[in-house]
Formats: sequence, C-alpha cells, structure tokens
Amino acid sequence: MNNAMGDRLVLVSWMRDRLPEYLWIALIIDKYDRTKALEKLYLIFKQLSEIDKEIPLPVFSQILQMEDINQKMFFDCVIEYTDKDVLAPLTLLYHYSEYPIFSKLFCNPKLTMLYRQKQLNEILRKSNPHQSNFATDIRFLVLFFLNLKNKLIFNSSMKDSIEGLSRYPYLSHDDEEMRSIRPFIRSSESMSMEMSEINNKEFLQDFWVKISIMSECELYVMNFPEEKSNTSEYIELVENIFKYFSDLFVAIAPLDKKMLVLFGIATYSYKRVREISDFKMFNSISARSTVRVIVENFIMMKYLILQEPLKSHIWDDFQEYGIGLYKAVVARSRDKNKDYSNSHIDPVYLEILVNHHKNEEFIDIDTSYFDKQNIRDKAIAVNEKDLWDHFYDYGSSYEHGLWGSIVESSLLMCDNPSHQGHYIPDVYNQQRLKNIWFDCVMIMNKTLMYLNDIYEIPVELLEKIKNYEQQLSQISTIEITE
Amino acid sequence: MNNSYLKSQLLKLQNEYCDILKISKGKLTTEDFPFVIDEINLFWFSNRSLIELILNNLYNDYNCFVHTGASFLDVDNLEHFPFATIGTNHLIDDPVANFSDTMPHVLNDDFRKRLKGQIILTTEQNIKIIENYSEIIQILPIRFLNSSDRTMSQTGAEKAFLGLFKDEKLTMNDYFKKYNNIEDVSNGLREHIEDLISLSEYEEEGSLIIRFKKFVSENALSLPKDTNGAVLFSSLIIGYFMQAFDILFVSLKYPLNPYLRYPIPFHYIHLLASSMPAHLDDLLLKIKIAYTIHKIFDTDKVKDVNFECYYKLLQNNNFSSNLIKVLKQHFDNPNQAPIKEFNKLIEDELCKLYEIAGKEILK
Repeated sequence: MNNAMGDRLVLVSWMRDRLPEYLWIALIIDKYDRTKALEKLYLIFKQLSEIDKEIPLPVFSQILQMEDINQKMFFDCVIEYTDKDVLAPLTLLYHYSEYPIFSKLFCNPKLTMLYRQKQLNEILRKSNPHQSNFATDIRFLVLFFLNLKNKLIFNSSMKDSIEGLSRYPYLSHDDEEMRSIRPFIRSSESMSMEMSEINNKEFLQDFWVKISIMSECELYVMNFPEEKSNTSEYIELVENIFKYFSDLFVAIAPLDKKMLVLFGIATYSYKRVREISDFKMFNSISARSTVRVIVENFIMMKYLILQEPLKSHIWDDFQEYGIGLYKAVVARSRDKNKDYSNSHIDPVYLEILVNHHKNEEFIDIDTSYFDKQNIRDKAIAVNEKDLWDHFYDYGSSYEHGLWGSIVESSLLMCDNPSHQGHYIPDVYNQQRLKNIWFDCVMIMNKTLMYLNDIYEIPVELLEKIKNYEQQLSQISTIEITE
Repeated sequence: MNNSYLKSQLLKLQNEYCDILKISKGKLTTEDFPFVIDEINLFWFSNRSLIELILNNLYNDYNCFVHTGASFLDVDNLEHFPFATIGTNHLIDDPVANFSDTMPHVLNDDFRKRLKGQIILTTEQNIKIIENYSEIIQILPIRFLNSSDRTMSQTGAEKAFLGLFKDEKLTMNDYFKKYNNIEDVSNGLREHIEDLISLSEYEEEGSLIIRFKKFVSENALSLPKDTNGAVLFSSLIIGYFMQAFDILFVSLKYPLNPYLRYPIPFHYIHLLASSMPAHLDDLLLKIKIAYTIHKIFDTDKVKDVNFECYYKLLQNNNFSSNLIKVLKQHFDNPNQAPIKEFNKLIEDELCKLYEIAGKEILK
C-alpha cells in the first residue's frame, strides 16, 4: 500500500504537524470550563475572521504573520475575552525580538521560565493524543472556523452529522451521541491544513527545535521481571540427559559421525542455555542470541536427518562445512601476519582444530549457506516454519545489531511530549528485557524430545524435563493473571 | 580544552548571544526593557543543558578562571589582560543574567534605575568581548543557571551572619525583634568583629556605626532608605555572604576558579575560608593569585600589545602554572604568606612577562 500511492502518500501527524499551530487554542480551552471556553473561542474566531478575511485557518503561524495593526487588534480581543497570562507560556517560543506585538502583550517576566515551560509541556501532553476528547474539542473549533469562513460544505445526505456538529459544544463527552460525532469531527479536520495549502514547515521546525531543547527528558524504562524459578534444577536435569548421551556415544559407537554431529549440535545448544542460567542472563541482549541459535540448531538437526537418506556423507559434509569456515579465518590471519596474542581468536589454536582430522589442504571453504539452502528453507523442509517465523527474524535483529533490537535493548524512550518520543542511550543499563527462560526450556526440550525419537532417553529423565516445562508454564500463567 | 566539537558549540552560542544583545541594545532604554531582558534570560534558559555539558566537560584541568562577583570586564581599560594572565581558559559569569535575576526583588526605585544602567553598560561590554575576543574569553550565565540552589547559599549566609553575634543562639527572627538600628547591631556583635566587616570597596577606617551611616547616605540600596538600620545591615551583609557562597558553590560544582576583581567578594570568601576543608587550599590560592594580579597588573606595559599575541605568549611560556610553582617553592603555605612578600613575588614574575611582551612588539 505504501508503494502504491508513491509520492502522493504524505503522512501528516496531529502532534507534529498541526498541534503546534493550535496550542494557543488548547491553552484557552484548558483555562476555562469547557462550554465557557468554546464560547470564548467562538467570539475570538469571529473577530479573527473579520480582522483578517484572508486567513484560512486559526493557525498561529498565520496570526503572527498578520500586519502589526491586525495582530494588535486580534491579541487585544484575546485579552478581552480571556486573561493575559493564558498565552504567557507561548512567550517562551515567540519572543520579543521576533514577535514584539505578541510578546509585549503576553510576556509576564514574573512567571518564571520553568513555570512557563511546565505549562507548555502539560498542555502539549494533554493535547497530544489525537483522539482524546480534549484534542477533539480543538479540532472541532478548527471546523467551526472553517464554517465561519463558509469553507465547510456538506452533502445534503450528511444531515445527521451536521446536526451533531451543532450540538457538540453543548453535549458532555460522556453523552452517547458523542461517540459518533467525535470521529466525524476528527476525520473532517484531518485534511483541513492540507486543503488550506498552508506552508508552515519553517514554523513547525522552529517550534520543535525551540521546545525540545528547553526541557529535560522524562525517561521511561522497561524493567521486566527476573526469572524466579529454580533454573539450576533444570540445568541439572538436562546435564543428566547429556551425561547419558555422552556415555551412550562412548560406549556404543564412539566413531559414529551421525551421533557425534547430533550430540555435538545438541550439546552446543545445552551449553548456550546453561550460560543463561549460570550467569543469570535471562533478561539480557546476549540471551536473545542464544534463543536464535538453539532454534537454528534444532532446525539443522532435523534437516540433517531429513537429508541423510539422500546424502550418505551428510554428517561429514556438515563437519567439513564448519571446519572450512574456520580454515578461512586461519588463512586470512596468516595473510595479515599480525600479532593476535591479545585477541580471543587464536589462529594457532584454530589451526590445530582445522587440521585435527584432515590436512587443511583437503578441506574446502564454502561461504554460502550449508547445503545451499538458507535456514528459512530448511525450516520449511522440516515443518518448523512456525518456529522460524516467531523466533528467527527477531533473534537475527539482535545478532546483526539492527535498529529494532537497538531500540528495544539499548535506548530509553522519553515521555516528554516536547521530545516527540525520542530515544536516548541507556548508559546506566537500566533497561531489562523480557525473560527468555521459558522459550529456552521449550526449545531445549523440543531438541531433547527429537533426540529421544532417535536414541530413546530414559523415561524418568524425560519426564522430569517435561514436568519442569509444565510447571514453568503454570508460573507464567499465574504471573500474567496477577 | 581539547574537545573541538564542544568548543565549536560554545563559540556558536557566543555568536547567537551576541546577535540577541545587538538587537536588544537599542531597546533597553525603552519601556520594552522587561521584555528584552526576558528574551535574554530565555536564551540562556533554552541553552542550559548545553551550558551544563560545556561546564562539566571542557575545564577538567582545573585551569579555567571565571570572572565573577563584578559588574563587567572593562575591556576599554584593558582589564582583559590581567584576566587572561592566570589560567588557560577564561569565562565571564554573565552579569546581565545576574542583574536581571536580581531586578524583580529590588524594591527601591533608585537602585532599580542603577541596576538598569548597569545592564545597559554590561550589554555593550559583552558585545565588544564577543566580537573581539570570543576565542579566548567566553560569556556564560553560570550563577544565574544555578540560582535554584540559592536555598543552600541563603541558609549558609544567614548562619555566617548570625555567627558574628555574641548570642550564640540568635535566630533571624530574634535578630529582627531585638535589633532596630545600627547601634543595637554594633552592641550585639562579638568582640573585634567590627574590624572584619567590610561594607564597600572605598570605605575609610572608623567605627562600624560611622561607616554604615556613611554607606547608607552615599549609596543606592535595594531596600527603601527609611528601612530600619538593622534590617538594612542584615540585608547587606547576608547579601555579601550569599554572593561568596554562590561563588564557592559554583567553583566546587564545576572545576572553575573565581577571578575576583572587587575586594568585597574576595574579603567575604576569605571570611568563610577559615571554616573550609584543607583540600580547598589550591582553590583559595588561585583566588588569591587572581585577585593580586588584578590589583597590581600594570596595563600600561601592555597597551601596545595585541591581545591574541599576548595570550599566545602566556600559553607558550606556561606563565600561569610556572607562577603557581614559584609561589609554592617560595612559601610553605602560600595562602598564609605575608601579603607584601606574596605580592612582590607575583610582581617580579609579571615584570618578566612585560619584558617578553615588550620584545614581541618590537618583532
């Protein structure tokens, strides 16, 4: 849909693109009882439309561009119907050297800067939600102004809507009828600025630059709860299973490549999950990488089994593929001939691993996907697309440091309406992500159940990990209910 | 300063401030004065986060001096030369912001008029400084932006004031009830305290009562002149103590050294210094050196010297750090050194500097 409209699709925001023009109206509505405020604004609008017949909308940018004499007349009228201090907060943005008429009439130096800035922020916060009753009142007044200028034309079939509009100021927002009037007002107002062809980009930019540097951030921290269950208990259960696997492998077929690869992949998953428990990383960024990799490992195991009948060397191929990538690392470090003694990547050690079973000259380097298929296609092939859909792209975002994961994990959202919901770096590591333990256990158990289908784990060991997962899901259900 | 990005932001701020001052200059004498001042204050208020960032990050070598406790840096009388002589970075605590902060609290019309006059003069000086010397001297509203911390300095100042009296349990309420005039106050002070109380820069010697009465008759005060003497006295002395506390708080909050040209804030800071912890010795020494340099610097010796060249000379010769080294080598405790010897040593170093500066002109 976004592409279909091309350049004609222009996103216009109430908060960013229209509210700054109507903040003066918001300040007046906020000051008085609703009906009284609307009545005052009627009178002010009537005067405005008479003072400047060309002004298309009651937008502040146009008001401030009126000739001095008209500005004075208009603002005197505002003072007549309201109070000098009502618009005083706006003197923080529209000050003497640029807007002397406005400033001289409304600037009250006795009102501190902080007070005025707080007032501005509060009114911005109140008016910001575009579907709120308060914002709808403002938007209604815009339509009223258009009506004064005879620019509001309705189809004769819209009789109910027109009548609703005329009753709007006198109905309470709790009135049932308002549920149909308010959406009509909002949808009618939403195009008003575009239709009036008001060019106010500079005004809006100026507004946001000025208002944003004036106030402090109000940071919002996501602090999901830590894991409460006994994770060591689970690790011990899984450890027992892997002890069994290890004994099985050594006792029965220590040279069996299939067993080696399957147990190797599963052990890698187990060690990743174990790190989460040992170092209490349940809410961490690194934990998301673990979930992604144990999903990938599970899919890979199933894929290898699927391919086995077609490719008898699949187990060798898988090992050689991985070792080939290590060979590439070793070769590159040899070419560069640097000192890596302080690096965690030790080419000398890796060289030993690479040459352990076969001289590296006989090992190919393949930098494409294993078996020329990406993980998504593999997931489809083994009927685990749902698993891939839910976990993989999300984890990939963390793995590659893409913006979604950065926003979720490393930036704090600011709740200050003047800052347009910006983010600032989470310097003190306050953000705590949602706990991944349940997912880790679920996927680890899937892995073990799959291995059970091939190698049959002792029932009592299997039952224990199933019970653990069940108890964990019950704890999670209770937490959600609370 | 080796953070060029932050420095460029600081210089940008100076230029923007200069633009506002130029627009405001012509309007300060009109009835639009309050709106003009509001706009100046608004400029600083809007940029307070940036200023805080600058103050916290650009001067961590403890070698920045801030010209404070005064109306303005009189560049027409070459006061920027002695100011630049000590330290590697130089700030002026914007007097315009400080004055405008004081205005709403002033009840005396005469005083208000004088304050307005000061604002106008200072605005002109600020424009000159920014246009000609902004690479070396920058103007920031340091105490103005920390004015919300005044409760602490007010409490401290009142305590220091009450500490001058014999009655150790005296409170401010008691003071206003018991004392009605300067004679009452004089009788209530501890022994020898009168000699420590300084009222103005140019007062002659004499009893506190005579000096006070002369001061009231010759100076514009922030309170109406018919206010009782005890109230006037407390307002004056607490004001001086508050200024001293403000200066000290700012110096401790940021790594800044106050450059004081007037004896009053210097005097009251030293009155407070006796109760300060020893690790502030370095700060007090720098305050003393700066004050001395201002007092004894001979601007005639540099009147033909280009200011930028003079500043480069100071930096290339590490004049400031060498001076402090010399003082520390010569005196066990430079803060307690006899004034004449202390001043003489600084004067000798300055003479060497004048000579080098003189040679630079001939080049």
